[in-house]
Amino acid sequence: MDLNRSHHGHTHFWMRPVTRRSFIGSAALAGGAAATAGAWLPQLARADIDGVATVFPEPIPSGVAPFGIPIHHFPPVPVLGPSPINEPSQITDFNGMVGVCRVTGAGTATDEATGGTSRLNFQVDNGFMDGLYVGEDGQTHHGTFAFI
Amino acid sequence: MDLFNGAVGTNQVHDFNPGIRDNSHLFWTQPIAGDAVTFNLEQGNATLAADDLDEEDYHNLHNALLDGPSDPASVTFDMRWAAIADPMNVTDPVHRFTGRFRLASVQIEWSADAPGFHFVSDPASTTNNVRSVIGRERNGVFFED
Repeated sequence: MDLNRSHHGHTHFWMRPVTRRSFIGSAALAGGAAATAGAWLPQLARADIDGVATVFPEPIPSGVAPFGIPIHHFPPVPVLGPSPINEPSQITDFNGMVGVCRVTGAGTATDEATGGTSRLNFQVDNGFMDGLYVGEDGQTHHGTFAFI
Repeated sequence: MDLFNGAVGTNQVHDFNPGIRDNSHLFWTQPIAGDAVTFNLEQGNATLAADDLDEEDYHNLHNALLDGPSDPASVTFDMRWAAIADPMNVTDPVHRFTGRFRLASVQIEWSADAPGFHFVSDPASTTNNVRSVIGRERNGVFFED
């Protein structure tokens, strides 16, 4: 792995003040993440389960190298083996629920300067990880993460 | 979340993701509220929804992988996994992960905003599922549990 890459001329979202971010909550959590996670680690405070994680996890140790650039990620396809699925999680030292996808579709883009519209195609590889993880601080936490 | 002015994979014009974390190289992963996810493996469904999530627009995959120049952006999405196969137990000793998983189909409806730009997808029912998975996973220090 090339560990010397750095970003250029911009700040990542985690370095900016939280100004725009908000979340759609779901009232349909019965049998879902919160209840299950509480059973796994009852000593965790409720806020640690329902809130936004403040300690980042570590990435999975391996992955693919598109354009020859190593990344800590396996796409859903092609399946690389030996198992019938590629690892869905982006984070290591993890015990929890995962989802990942590759989907395609289309939509409409608007140029806000001219008001003109155009049709664009999309590919989305999104996912989630929700559960226990060992964070960058070496401690075990519960958190929910989106892969975008 | 990638947009193409042409067939998928050609002439990419937007690439929305949170960036690669500087110190660890955690890949395109960001914390979200716990109630953004619902999950039930036995019933075979899961949802992920977020509103106005801060991202970067790297415009194309190569630039994104290099963590090159980007514009501030945001995305909103509502996506649903529905299982299309029975649960399967998987243990991968090479990549050291194990768990119980189901192949699934995903439908998504989403939008994105970047400077001077707005995108809204067609209805979720028009989504083409390529390959999707939900499951319970253990890896790293939890692999041997």
